[in-house]
Amino acid sequence: MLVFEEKFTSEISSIVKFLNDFKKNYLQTLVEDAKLRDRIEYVVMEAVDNAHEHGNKKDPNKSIVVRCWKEAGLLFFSVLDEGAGFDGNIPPTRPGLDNLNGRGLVSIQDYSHSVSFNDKGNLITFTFRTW
Amino acid sequence: MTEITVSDGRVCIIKAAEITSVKEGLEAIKNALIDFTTSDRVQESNLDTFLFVDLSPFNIINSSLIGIFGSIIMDQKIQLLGLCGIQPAVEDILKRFGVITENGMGKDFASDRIKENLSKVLAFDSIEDGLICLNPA
Repeated sequence: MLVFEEKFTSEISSIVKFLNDFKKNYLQTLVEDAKLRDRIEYVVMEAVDNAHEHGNKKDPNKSIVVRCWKEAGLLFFSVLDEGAGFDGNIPPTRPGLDNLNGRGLVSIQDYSHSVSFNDKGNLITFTFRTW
Repeated sequence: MTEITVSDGRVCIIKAAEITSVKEGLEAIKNALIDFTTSDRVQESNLDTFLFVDLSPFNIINSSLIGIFGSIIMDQKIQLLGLCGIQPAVEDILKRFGVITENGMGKDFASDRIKENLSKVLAFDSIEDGLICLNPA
């Protein structure tokens, strides 16, 4: 069952608005457990940040689409950008503190139940158990 | 959006003044940290710099802020990075990426180069608690 589909431009102000609306209008009612809510909020923010920075290269003429749906006790999210795509290989280890980047996808994998990419690599889908 | 207080060029306190959104607040903190730590008053100074960051308004942080913390930890000009008012999910993220451990200090399995710098990271309940440690008397 589709919970929402939101499309917004790849700009900080649009991302802030989406994340605020998501937290206020959906997350509070979708998930009872506060700890799980924090995890979902974190992962969605990381995925949207990745789409903006690495996928769309911060191009405000490009868009990000976030979908959320429920199915068999799982909450699914997908984040689509208009970038060239990513090979889908998540680094096997966490980067050291002397690396500025490289933590986003690793932590998405850490905190979610499952992570997958489309063939092009510009659509990430992740799930959470809601029971 | 962020309040930066610097006393005698040595002690810097960074806190988000008003949080209307987590993402906006994190961006403001991140920008304030970059501006301050790369400024001449830090990089050209011969004095030690003690930095306190108020994380109490945030239920989560993001990975790019962890990256900035990493740069600060490796910066020889910064003698103390005090992370204050850490909420549970933030604590989990900080531990996951080796910024702090169970006892609120730097990770002990880090590489030698990182380990040398991790002792400068301390977690405090509040900014006030952190400031007390600078002047226990």
